[in-house]
Amino acid sequence: MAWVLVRLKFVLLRAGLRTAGIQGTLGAVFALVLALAIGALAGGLFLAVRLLEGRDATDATAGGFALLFLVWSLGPVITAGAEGTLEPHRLSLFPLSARQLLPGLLLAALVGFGGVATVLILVGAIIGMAPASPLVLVTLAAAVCQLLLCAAMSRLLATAISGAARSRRWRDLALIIGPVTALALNVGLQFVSRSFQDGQVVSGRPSPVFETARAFVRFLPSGPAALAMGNAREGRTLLALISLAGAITLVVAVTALWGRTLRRVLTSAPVSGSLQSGAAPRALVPAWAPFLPRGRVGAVAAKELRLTWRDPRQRVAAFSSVFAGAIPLISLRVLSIGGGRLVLLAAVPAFLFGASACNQYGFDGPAHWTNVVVGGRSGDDILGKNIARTVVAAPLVVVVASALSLLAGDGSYFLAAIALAVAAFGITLGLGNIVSVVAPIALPDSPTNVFSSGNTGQGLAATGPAIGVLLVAAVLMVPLALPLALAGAPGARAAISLVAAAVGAGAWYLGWRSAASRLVGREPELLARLEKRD
Amino acid sequence: MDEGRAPRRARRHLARSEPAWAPPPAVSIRGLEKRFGSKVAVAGIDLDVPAGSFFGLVGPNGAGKTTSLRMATALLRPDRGTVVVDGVNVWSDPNTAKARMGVLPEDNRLFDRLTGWELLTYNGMLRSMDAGTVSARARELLDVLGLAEAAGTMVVDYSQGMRKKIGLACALLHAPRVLFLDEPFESVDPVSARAIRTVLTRYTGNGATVVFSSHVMDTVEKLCDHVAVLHAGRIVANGTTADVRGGRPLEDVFVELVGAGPDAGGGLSWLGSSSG
Repeated sequence: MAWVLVRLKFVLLRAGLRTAGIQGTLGAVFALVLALAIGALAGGLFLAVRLLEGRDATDATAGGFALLFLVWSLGPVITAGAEGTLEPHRLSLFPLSARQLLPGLLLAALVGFGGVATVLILVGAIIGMAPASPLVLVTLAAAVCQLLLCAAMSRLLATAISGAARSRRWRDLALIIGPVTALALNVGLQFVSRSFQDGQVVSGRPSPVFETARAFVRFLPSGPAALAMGNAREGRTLLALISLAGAITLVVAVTALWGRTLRRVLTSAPVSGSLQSGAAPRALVPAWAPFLPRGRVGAVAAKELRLTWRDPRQRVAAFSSVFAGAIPLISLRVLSIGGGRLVLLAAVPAFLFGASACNQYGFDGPAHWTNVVVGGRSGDDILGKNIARTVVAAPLVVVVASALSLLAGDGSYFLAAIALAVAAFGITLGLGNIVSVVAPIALPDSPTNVFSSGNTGQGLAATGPAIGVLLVAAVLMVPLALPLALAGAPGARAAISLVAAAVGAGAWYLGWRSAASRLVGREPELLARLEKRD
Repeated sequence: MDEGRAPRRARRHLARSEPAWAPPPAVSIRGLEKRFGSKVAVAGIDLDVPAGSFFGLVGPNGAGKTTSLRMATALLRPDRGTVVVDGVNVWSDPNTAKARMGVLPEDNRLFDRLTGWELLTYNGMLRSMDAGTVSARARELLDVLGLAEAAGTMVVDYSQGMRKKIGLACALLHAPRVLFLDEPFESVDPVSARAIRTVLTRYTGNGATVVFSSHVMDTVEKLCDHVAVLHAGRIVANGTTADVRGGRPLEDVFVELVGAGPDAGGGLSWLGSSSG
């Protein structure tokens, strides 16, 4: 059965790439190159462990495994909407027990670019840690355990958050679990890194914080596999076997927990929101947004604002992109340098939030017929979507810029930061508008995975253009951000700020006009793309 | 598709085929074709739907009903042919044509995280209707369709029947001249079906036109004054319901026209014999 599911994943990937067209192929090639590069780089670092000895080698492996484990666990949350997995709910009517189903789903989860990169990394770890004795078998088994543990934990968290995101009681908590953990991880790593450096500088030895951290990573779920490798390398057979048994037990336990969570999610009725039968109807346009225009533009903007919070997929996507932008800002290292220029980083959330607009019709999916059947100007829909996005982004940027000004104790860069945020948001949103029209992809509403973009390789098509927009926008931002950061005189800063804001507004306008003109007379074709079954 | 010349051609055809005193048809379809790859979904149909009629489009699965209705409502671009709704060519002047038609598609996918009330308001605002008119009509439609209690409930929590009814309310909100409904009674309980029938009967009573597809011959026989049978992408019968029936039950005529299909009596002896 496991092999059947793995083959099914391959078949669906192939079919998805065929239907995703040129964007899908380009996205797949891009993602493959990226996965190979990351795998080769991180695998190369693991190879260097061979130069270390004893406890240092084991702890370095444990640290690397912990990082790999956390990336897999948080991956679906951070890259919301870009994941493509086998959807368990489609298999729920088959008479298959969890024991038959889970191994296959687990292996299928590894079929993808994350799996390719991880295998390369683990090959590096095997070579770096392998002893020249029969205990090399323990090293190999430990690497397999680490691989399976990563996949199982990733599935467990994605399923648990997807289930919780649909319930009123848990949805707020579910929203922040992933991003806050990512934030804590980032801050923690910065803290440990600084402690290590400070300790080295002061006493020539690592500080107690670093010692605690290296002990801590051994006790993470990824620890036993690293310990098994370390003990095998040191020739401690019994300890190596005990550690390996611990790693195997963890894989079985996490997989079993995933199975239970999956069953619960599949057999529970989703609770859609706070508006229940008999509730007094509310106006479509929120009372706090009377500034929205009337007519079609206002209708789309109001609908988007309502759905950004009510649709679990949109909620998670918006929240994740905002938090992904906040992570570098709250990093200890960043806060310790930069002075007033630090405030310019308020443009980062705007940049990421704008860049997440690469598939603005994706959440509409087949329901977009509602707009097509009405007719009217095509550009109005995109304009409405852009207005809703701006309504969310504007206060966010102001709050972040204000907070950073307070932290830096210097408000002189506040307006420059706002201008840079306008530039970042305008450029990314303008590019996102074009990509949204050129490469729209319907995002399925999966009960078991709010991060899903379909199980047919569509995630590749969705991720490729988004990364492309990020890169292009980053290149375009450099000539604006750099002079703004380097300009010392307030007058020069004000002039560059004006230019930045104008460039942002102009880029958005060009992107919007280009997208709108591409749509004229092609609404049925857009709808056909959005109706493609996943 | 030759959009520029198509309406004139369609009008000439109508001038030849209709008596001088007859009102122009509400929907006029000429040479409508659609292929998906090598599969011909609609093989060049010609159809006139009389104004003010209750017109049933019936056919087996895969006959091309949904594809035809989607092309007639500007949701799917045809390979060839013209569609004129209330005197307006759908594909050369889509915005004007869309203002005159209401549509309820078969799968009826809606923005289901909006409430029923919000969805109606959304549709009204999309059509730039006056807020007061939208509010008054929405209230009335929700009352008549039995959805007033659920106006503040998200559509995702609606039953299938309620979804059909809110979809119908959205299609009727702007008082279109022609209403296209694809399988409006599919998955609908008898009570909801009666509510929908009541609204549609009242609607055609005011001179508007309803075109709907259905598998349920009994419903078509009761409701429709005109019927067309579509099979393998072609119209195989078309006329008043009485003419098409020829005094027999519509289902018998339908099965005769489209073929009875494979003999279900032979084979399948294994069915029900094991649970494996």
